Amino acid sequence: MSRSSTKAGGLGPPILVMALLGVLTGASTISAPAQDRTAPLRAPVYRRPLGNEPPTLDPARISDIYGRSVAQQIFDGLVEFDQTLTIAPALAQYWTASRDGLVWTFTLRKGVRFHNGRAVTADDVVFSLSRLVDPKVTSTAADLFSNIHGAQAFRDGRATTVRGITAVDASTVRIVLDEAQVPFVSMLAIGHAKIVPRDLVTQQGDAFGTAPVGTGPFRFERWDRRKEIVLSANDDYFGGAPRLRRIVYRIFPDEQSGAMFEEFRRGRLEDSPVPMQDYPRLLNSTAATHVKRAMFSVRFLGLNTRAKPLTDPRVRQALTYAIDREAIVQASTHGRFVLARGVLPPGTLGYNPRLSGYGHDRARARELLAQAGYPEGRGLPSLTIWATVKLEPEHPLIVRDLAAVGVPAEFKYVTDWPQFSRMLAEGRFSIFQYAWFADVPDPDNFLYRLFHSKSPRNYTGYTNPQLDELLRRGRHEGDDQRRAELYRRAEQMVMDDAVVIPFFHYTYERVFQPYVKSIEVSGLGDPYILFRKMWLEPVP
Amino acid sequence: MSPLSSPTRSLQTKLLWGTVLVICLVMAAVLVVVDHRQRAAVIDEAYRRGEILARDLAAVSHAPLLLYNFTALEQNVARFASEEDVRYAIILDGEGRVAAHSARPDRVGVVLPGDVDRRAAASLDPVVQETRVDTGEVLDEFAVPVLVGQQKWGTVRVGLSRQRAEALIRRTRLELGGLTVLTLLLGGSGAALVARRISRPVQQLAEGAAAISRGELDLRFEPTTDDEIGRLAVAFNHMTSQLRQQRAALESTNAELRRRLEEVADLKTYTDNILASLTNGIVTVDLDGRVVTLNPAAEMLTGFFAGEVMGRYCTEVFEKTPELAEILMETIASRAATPGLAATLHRRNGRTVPVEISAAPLKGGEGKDLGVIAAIRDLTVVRELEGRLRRSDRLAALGSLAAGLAHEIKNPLTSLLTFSRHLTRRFDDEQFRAKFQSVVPRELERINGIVERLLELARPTPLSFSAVRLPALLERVVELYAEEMDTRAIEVTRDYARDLPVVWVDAEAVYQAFVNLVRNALDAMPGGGRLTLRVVWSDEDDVVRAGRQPRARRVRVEIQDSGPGISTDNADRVFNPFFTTKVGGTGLGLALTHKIVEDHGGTIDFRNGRAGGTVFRIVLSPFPDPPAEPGRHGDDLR
Repeated sequence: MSRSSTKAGGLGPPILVMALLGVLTGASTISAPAQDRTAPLRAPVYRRPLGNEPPTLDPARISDIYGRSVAQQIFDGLVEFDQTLTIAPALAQYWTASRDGLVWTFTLRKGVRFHNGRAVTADDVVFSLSRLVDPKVTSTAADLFSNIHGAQAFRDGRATTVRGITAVDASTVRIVLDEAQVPFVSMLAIGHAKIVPRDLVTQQGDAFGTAPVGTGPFRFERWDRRKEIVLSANDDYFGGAPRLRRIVYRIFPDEQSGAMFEEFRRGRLEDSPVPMQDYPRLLNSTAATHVKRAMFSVRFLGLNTRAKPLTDPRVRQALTYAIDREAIVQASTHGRFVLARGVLPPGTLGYNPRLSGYGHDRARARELLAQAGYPEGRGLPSLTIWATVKLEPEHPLIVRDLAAVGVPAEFKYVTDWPQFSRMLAEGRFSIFQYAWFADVPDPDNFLYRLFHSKSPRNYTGYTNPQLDELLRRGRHEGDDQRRAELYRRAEQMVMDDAVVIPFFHYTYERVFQPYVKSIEVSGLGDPYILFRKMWLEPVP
Repeated sequence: MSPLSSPTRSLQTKLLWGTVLVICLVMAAVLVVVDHRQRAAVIDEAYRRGEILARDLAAVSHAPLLLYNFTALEQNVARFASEEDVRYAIILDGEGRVAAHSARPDRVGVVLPGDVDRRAAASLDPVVQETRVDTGEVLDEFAVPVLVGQQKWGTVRVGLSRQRAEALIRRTRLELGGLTVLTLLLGGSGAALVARRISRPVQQLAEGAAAISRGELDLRFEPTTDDEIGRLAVAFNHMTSQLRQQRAALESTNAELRRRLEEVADLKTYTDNILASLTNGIVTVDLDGRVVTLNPAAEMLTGFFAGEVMGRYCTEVFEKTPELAEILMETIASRAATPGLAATLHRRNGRTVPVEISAAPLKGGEGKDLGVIAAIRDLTVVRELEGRLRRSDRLAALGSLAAGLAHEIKNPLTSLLTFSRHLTRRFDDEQFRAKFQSVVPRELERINGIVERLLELARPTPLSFSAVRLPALLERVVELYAEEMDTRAIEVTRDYARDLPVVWVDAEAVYQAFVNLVRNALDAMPGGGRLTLRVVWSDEDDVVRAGRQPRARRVRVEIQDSGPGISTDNADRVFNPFFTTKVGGTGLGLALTHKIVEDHGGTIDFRNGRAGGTVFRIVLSPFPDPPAEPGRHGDDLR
């Protein structure tokens, strides 16, 4: 999934990501408070902050991390990522694939019931997966599943069902693809592809998103608007009853990370993000378990290759050379995030440490501008950089650096995310600040979705048949080595054409109360924390 | 060791072969143990390797299996199959169909039909199976299921060649064999060197020893090393010098010994000669009484040959002469010499020989008892001489008796002759007649008395024994001569023991004997003197002991005068008839006395007193056992 960084650089709760495969960051107990064994048992209730009120808890419709974080506990997919980001069976106990990778047959786990007691059937699965490509649902994951046979016809209204998704019998579902895709099963593990009860969703429509019923370890209990969402343990969970009895999501509108941290310090929350301001001091002031993990993400300035003067790659290159990104990243993140030299974060298949990127080189920038016909920026229109929130000191520094090579620039802000998103999709921004969090730990999820000419997420309008070919081959290549090489070439191609100016890769960072045990933050980040395994040490 | 090897080389050969044998044994043991261990380790290692490989493949194939990334699976099997000893790697999917096959890609998608395949596909646990591939090679197949929960997602199979393990085992064996050969070579040559080093000096020593055994004691070795061999050489030199010294000592001792031996031989010859030349028979017996020696004289005497009696008991040999055996045994028992004892030796041929036997214990050096020696003296000649002497004595005595008789009778006969001549002529002469009447009967009476006493002396007298008190008998004698002694101033001293017994004798005979002795004493003291009469117990061993019987106590009567004594010239003749020193004596008194005493089984002798005078001593037994032939007692040697 992805989302624009409306509050990028902000201290938002870690954004739903596919974290780096196999990268573990230290989870260290800074210090543990003295424990009183005679104290009464702690109520097994887990309270965690939610940075905004989610619009819906319907997994197919969720486009933000807030709803995703909650829905992840309520619903199960056919498959899921385990903590090492390996695909593991969930509602599907077993599956097979045809040799060509086009036909996938899933056998459902027996005896799994929704929270309302109804058994899960193949029909629910067919419904749930078909919804993703249903234009009426407008799932942000629709494009991920567009290669399912009949998906496009269904989207186009030429068919009433997705022909590629069928129930063979009550517990067997077959999915037929038009085009084989190496990480197809991984797609089914993303947050959108949860199995919902067909009858309820059909009856309730949008209302399902306010009182969701799933199969997950926790069942929806109540939702106090702008206050809290409460989940309670599902003792009938197929994987065993969770140890926590309840999860309370406290809503702190507009990512009030300072307030969250304060509440955490007072012991009213079990975890909290770490505010950027006074970050080291705050960390040292609390006896908390500090979890830090590189995230499968990239934050960049997208350059609209169809908007003049950015159509000229030399101009795009000049802009990239002009900005002292290293200094800006350091100044704005205090070293918390990793400087991005390319698109793929370290740890991704195909990450290229020898990537030929761009340093800070104003002379080269001027030279390139001159070559493009804008010596010293003369003749260049003023460039507008669009973002959702004003970031100090990052944005002024960017403007200053561009001005230094004679490029006039200014930041403009569209604070409404849906509007920003729409304008982005319509290609109305020449330069935009954007963050991408991978849905699956795969380079395809970065490069194909952001730069393939057919990708709906290609907001830069970049079209390069060679790149498309590389990406297509990447999807079919079973050999990781060759695949990595393909994606390296693709990334290099994107960088050579300076389609984006990458800034940094996010680092997931959060503090937990020391009595919180079994914190299994997978590489997927915050929403994928396995609360069903978590427990609280019974001390005051 | 080869029996053909020469003796001088045997030590070297022994050492060499011993070392080689030990090395062989040790290396064989090492070979067996190491090979066994190594084989087990290699096989175990191969199994572990196979299992690890299969598990590795399962681990890396886990995600591709779930993603159905056949390419990745094929790459995996290809990668694993590229391992040297992996013959094939297969990944089966959950249905048991081949998802990836390194050796037979054409089998992809099919369910393999073999038993091994079925078992591998069906098992929920790791399985190790033996299988055979088309080439005929036997493989170990390691099958590991890929499980997610209880669901089997696939099976990983790895066929592992045994060649690597076998090659490893072979190589180890080869190396061990090489090591053994090397050890044998090194050890053998080392042993050979050492053996040479040891055996050469030893051989020299052996040659030296041989030389020494030939008597070449001047041999010397120069010790070349400081080790045991060197020390051996030094010791050898020391030994030869010692041998030299000892040989010299031995030679001198030997010479001395030979000299002594010659002496001993001489001595033996000497002794043998002495023994042989002895006229006395010599018999020696050992402490058991067995005859040891019989010298030629003894052989002659006894009639036995030394050879036939040697080692036999003397009591058995001399059973006819019990005295000899007895004296020998007694001496063995008493360990005291036995003086000469007369005996009669009964010879083998039945003749008897008078002998005198003396025996003495035979002592070796240091006083050790060896036995007894007995000397047998042949008394035949002595007896013959004695008999001859006795006859001549008797003739002499007869002569002197005849002379005495003639002398005694001659005077009266002369008187009678004279008277008878004058008778015719002077018959009428009154005076003559008167004289005739007085002289002739007196002279005739005198002759008659002489004849009468002579007859008495010669005639055996029957004795009539009665209990007599000897002092009383003596007092009768004193009474008889009381007047004469009074006149002649002879003092009588009596010394009678108090506890004297009565003596069983012929009182008149003994009285007559006492009278004769007192008469004799009075005649020896014409000018007066002292007559001492003594009757005491006799303690003296004045009688020849007869055998070993306890002596009966006897009574001794002494009659002592203080006269001039008897000259030694006359001592032998005192008791002879007609011997007298007195004028007018007939010389028959003492002879008669002697006869009386002897008739009583007693003894009589005399001796000169210390203060002059003569003591006649009569020893009598209170209960005499009168000789059977009283008339012959004078001939008895005893």
